[in-house]
Amino acid sequence: MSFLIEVIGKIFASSGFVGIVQDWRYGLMLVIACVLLYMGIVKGFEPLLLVPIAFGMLLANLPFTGLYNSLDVSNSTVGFMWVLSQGVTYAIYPSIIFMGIGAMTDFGPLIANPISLMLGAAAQLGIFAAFMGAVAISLFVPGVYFSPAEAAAIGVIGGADGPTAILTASKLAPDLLPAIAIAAYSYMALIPLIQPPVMKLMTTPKERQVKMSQLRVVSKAEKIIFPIAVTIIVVLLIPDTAPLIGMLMLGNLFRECGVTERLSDIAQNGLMNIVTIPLGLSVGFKASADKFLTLETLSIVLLGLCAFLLSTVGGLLLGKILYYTTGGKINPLIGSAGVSAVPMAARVSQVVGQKENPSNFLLMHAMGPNVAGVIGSAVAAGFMIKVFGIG
Amino acid sequence: MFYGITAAELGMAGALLVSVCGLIVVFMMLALLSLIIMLTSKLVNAVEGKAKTTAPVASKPAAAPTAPVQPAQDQDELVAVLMAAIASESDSSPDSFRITNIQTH
Repeated sequence: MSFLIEVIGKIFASSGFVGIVQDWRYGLMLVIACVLLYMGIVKGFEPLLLVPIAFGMLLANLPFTGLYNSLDVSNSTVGFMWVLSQGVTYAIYPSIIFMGIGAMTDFGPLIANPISLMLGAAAQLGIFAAFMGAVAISLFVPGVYFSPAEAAAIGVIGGADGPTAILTASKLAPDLLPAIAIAAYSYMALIPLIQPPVMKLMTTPKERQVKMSQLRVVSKAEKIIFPIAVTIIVVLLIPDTAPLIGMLMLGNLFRECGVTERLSDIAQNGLMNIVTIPLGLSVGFKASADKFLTLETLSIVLLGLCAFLLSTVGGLLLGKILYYTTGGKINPLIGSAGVSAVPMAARVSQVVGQKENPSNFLLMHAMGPNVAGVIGSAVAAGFMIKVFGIG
Repeated sequence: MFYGITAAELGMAGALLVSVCGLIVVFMMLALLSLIIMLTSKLVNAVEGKAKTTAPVASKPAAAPTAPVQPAQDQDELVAVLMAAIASESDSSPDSFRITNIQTH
């Protein structure tokens, strides 16, 4: 009998319950993971990403699993999640996701209206503003410190582009990766709530009612040349953008060249789904209690929101400038779509414009700045990696 | 470039400088792309236009949903509505088709 009690006692002593009792933060993280699962499953907030991220977080906060044990050659052991997370550490998953995004994206509206690229550039304002905000917090707020490299990774949340934020964080701020990824995806899901008040505040009803003329038809040759030309120019000028821009444009070339339908199909469906699972799990798994429940995380959430708002403001400001310089031919609402978040931000422009004038259809006009934002945020991220990264 | 620098070493002035430089780089890069797109479009249109004039029996463009008659100027609004509806229903890009005529009965 005493043997049985001893065995049960030993099993309990080595169980995860002891770990949770020893450190209450694990319990809190499990609650947060369950709340995120609820938001993904019941509320439908980016479920394809939020469910694996939240479950990764749940696994990370169950003590003593050894899932993140690094490779031990002498004992031939390795943690399963450690293996999966190498794809994030070496920025493999975000690049493959970008290939899928490229295969899904039609750059036609951008080619038809190249001025859209400027709106995509203006909407990167939030990245640099949030970077400065993070540096200011480090300098003036006691108890919170971000290195400039970490501040740059936080700023990239303002690009409203999950894979870009993850890639930048994996290179510049690996410890902040989960907080940055979760903030980026949460705000992307909340774009329909975050952007409209700013859009209404910054534009007049007259501006919102502007109807834009129909876009010209873009030839197949233009669509094929576009990804090749962009890759050559952008990667030559900023080589650090190669993983993102290179894969984005490869995916787009699969889509447009007309002879690789099977590759385009697999890039935007099967491959993207396959990679989303380890990406989400790995990001979530990095959110262990000791790294996540900090003042820094709270600061990142606040800075991320500021970055989103200011990126929206940047796009709208240039939209207004274009409205006046073109004699009212451009609706400034398409400027807010310059934050990436394809196609959510373009849909928001459409909805806000249509509320003001039910016969107005801005969706295709907003898709130009929207896809330009993807390129813009990749360029901004490449710049930050160049300035603050190794080498 | 600034690998390993601390916030105190960078300072607010340095952060501002980096931000301004970053914005300029992003704007210049996208302006350059914009220029390249415009040049490519002109080049492609010139080449395709030339090919059409020298080879009038070229293959027909993709089938239009309706008869090939120019839309009236005052139908812009209707065209936009139809384009959005067709793009949404067929899950395709508005570039992949062209509305050439709208007939009402």
